[in-house]
Amino acid sequence: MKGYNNKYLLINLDDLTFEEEKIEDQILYDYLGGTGLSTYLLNKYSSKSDPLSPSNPLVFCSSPLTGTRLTTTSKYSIATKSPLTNFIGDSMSSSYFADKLKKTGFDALVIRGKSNKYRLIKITNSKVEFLNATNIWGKTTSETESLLSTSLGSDFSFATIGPAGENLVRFAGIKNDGGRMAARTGVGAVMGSKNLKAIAVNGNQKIKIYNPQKLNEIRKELSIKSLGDSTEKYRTTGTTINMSLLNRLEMLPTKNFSESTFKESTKIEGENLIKNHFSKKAHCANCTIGCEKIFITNDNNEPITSRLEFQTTASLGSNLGISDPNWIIRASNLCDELGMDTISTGVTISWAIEASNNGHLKESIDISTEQKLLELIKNIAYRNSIGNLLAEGSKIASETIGNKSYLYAMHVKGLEIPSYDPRNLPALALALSVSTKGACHNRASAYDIDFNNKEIFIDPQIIAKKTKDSEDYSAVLDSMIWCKFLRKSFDDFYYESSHIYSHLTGEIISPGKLKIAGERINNLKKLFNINNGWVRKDDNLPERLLKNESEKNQIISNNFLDSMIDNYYYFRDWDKNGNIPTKKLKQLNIK
Amino acid sequence: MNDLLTGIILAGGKSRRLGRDKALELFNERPLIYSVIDAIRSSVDEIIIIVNDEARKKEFAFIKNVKIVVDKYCDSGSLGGIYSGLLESKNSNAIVLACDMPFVSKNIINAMKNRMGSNIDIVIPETEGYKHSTHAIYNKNCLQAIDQQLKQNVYKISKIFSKCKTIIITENEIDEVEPNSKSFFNINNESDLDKANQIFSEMCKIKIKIEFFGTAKLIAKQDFIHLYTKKQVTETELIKLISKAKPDLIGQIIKKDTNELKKSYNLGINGIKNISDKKISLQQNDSILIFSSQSGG
Ligand code: SF4
Repeated sequence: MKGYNNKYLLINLDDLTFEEEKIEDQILYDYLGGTGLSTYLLNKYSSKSDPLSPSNPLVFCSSPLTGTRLTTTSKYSIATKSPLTNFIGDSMSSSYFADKLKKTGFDALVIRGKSNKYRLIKITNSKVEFLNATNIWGKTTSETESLLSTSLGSDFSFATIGPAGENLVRFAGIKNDGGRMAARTGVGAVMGSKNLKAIAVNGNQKIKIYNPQKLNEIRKELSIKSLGDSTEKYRTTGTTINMSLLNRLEMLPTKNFSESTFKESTKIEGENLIKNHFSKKAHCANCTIGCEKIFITNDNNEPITSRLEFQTTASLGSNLGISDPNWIIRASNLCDELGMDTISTGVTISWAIEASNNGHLKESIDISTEQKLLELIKNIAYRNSIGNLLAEGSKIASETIGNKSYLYAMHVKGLEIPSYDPRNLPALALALSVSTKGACHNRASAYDIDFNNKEIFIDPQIIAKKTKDSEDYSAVLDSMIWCKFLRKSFDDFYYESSHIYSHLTGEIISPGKLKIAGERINNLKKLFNINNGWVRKDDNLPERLLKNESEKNQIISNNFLDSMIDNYYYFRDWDKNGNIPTKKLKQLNIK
Repeated sequence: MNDLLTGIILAGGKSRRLGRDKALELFNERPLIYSVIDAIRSSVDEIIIIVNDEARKKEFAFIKNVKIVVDKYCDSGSLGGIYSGLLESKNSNAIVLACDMPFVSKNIINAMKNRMGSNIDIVIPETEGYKHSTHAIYNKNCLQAIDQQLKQNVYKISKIFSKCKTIIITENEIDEVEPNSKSFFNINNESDLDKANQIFSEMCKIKIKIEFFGTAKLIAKQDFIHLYTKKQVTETELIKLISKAKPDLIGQIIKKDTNELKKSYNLGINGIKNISDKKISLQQNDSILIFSSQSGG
């Protein structure tokens, strides 16, 4: 099929071999690419083994749109079994690595096994080499990229882990192109478990396009649309300004979700960061929006810059009771260098603080100075002292020390909760509970249902239907792949996407079929989880977020959540326990 | 004295000068007579509306909990109406009001009521040398004097004041109860109606807070401002007010020329409940939030 390479690379690190495998058209058509295709490949090679064992596949996947230079499409998806959740771990990242990977002639990489030496995989046009990575093992992500760039050439793009991934920190990410990271679900730990430090790609093969002229026109139109009102926030301020609104709405996770407003939020809200810390804008390859904002410290110490998003400012800020932007910029920079997810880092530290304050954790967690905070983050990445426990993430750490410390572990299925307080955001609460990868705000973008309608819906049936639809829609976004921040630029997302897909591949896909593809992808993710021991009680929220008697103004209670979940299963055609009937699998052509 | 009071509203016939029925003229989106009824409802235990004839009585049948009485001396001006009303009153005292007074003040009515005593027949306010005979309290003791006058075809109300025990409420006294009161304002013609509407919109202004987020906050250089507005506004009116107060928002947050928010922004009342209705009902101290319509992050 045009638009694809129609093959992937199956790599075995045990014996440093590789094979080229064909992908049938039907599979491409059914799973599109990105998160869809990577889920398919993960499922195909999955062994139900421990996530950090050699047999757990680590899949990198581009998409049909990758490499077409359509705005925001330089993206790739990663799928593996997550060491945080033991369910599907999927994460995405963007920029040149995605394009250069696709242009090597492969749509995806499936990496299995474990090398007995530290390795780097170098892939150019259909050529694969396994290089020794001893000299870069232990280096931070930027050091690694810069060393590799010197030795292999600046034409290459790299996906690399930092010390956190090497030390199997369960929330380690994979970094690429200087500033981007596939951060969530511990994909970096899986890479580290294979002794794989980095992947270097430099493909320059042409991507075959069915109707190049038409696609060119579409590219221009879409670029213009992408600069409209519906991307204003991303283009101007970026996402850090979410904090002031969420704080005003009492939805800003504060001190490990024990509070929903942060007294000192004005110091770390985006408006203040922009006034006092803004350094420059940046953007992923082939993106006209450029949501990335780089901030710089302004105290007397050596200046440090970091790309900040709202999630980072909240997880490492209000969630930890930290109100100095300089601390946050340095902590964020450090997490990036060590290759660690800032959300899980923040929420695991806040768990430890509370567990310690309540006597469940013997060690005291001191982040009263910037130095101590940075020290703790380093200790997590290197698994030093208490950092060794925290490197397990809040779920496993709380299970390890036992008692009632699980009460403070703010995760779903093991993945730490991002910074939207779901207590009064019903669609988000449902989406976080049922998401196959755990508490992820992006796999359904359900907060948009709560925020952008005339009223917050409180009918479980309406919420369930809308959340299900939003999950399927997001699956298509993440498979095509479009950036989430472009989504509102479409007048009719399914129609326009199907149109573009057809001009790219030469295969007609109707808007309806595209919708079903989204449903299929989410069902396959769920099937992966079911095969790995999922049960209904895994779809939940921490007790703390559920309403008790004293919280009169809160929407989400145990019963309300249950009722939304029941309705959600109903709209998914799943049984009452959330399992997928064989009939449904057949209907979706899932084998 | 007997505390109980009857309310008599004089709604005779059609206004010659306005050319329409004043009582039924729409004011604040309701027939004007309701403004008077509402103002006295809590001060009286009976309301009588005086009309000229049976046909008009039928026209007023839609008004609930009032007694509609046909004037015994129709074509005798207000005096006839006062007479017919007092005659029908179950109480000895009655506050008499014209139907065309949109701003009758409860406070002033109550102050007048407090001045009524057992040996008093009339309590009448006077401003700028003018005695407001259709904004006064009369006792049934006046019936005889009025009847005599009417039989002689003397319709001037002021003539009875000397014949009855009358107390005048002075301008100073009124000012103490309610400075700049519009209680005596009545509508005779089109321009009075316009003026009433203008006074009304000034009177119902409430204080609201406009809170800015994101780029709106950066441009406004303030977290919030306070504005005064009517309780019922359209989205356009509200945006117009905001752009007057913060003209810098025009262009990036508010569309040029049209008093509309750009698609990139939402308005929420006291939270994220979006305003998408064209008409908005506001309360004192409400907050209007202006925030990005892109919730991602
Ligand atoms: S909008 Fe932001 S995240 Fe999306 S492609 Fe552009 S720069 Fe990257």
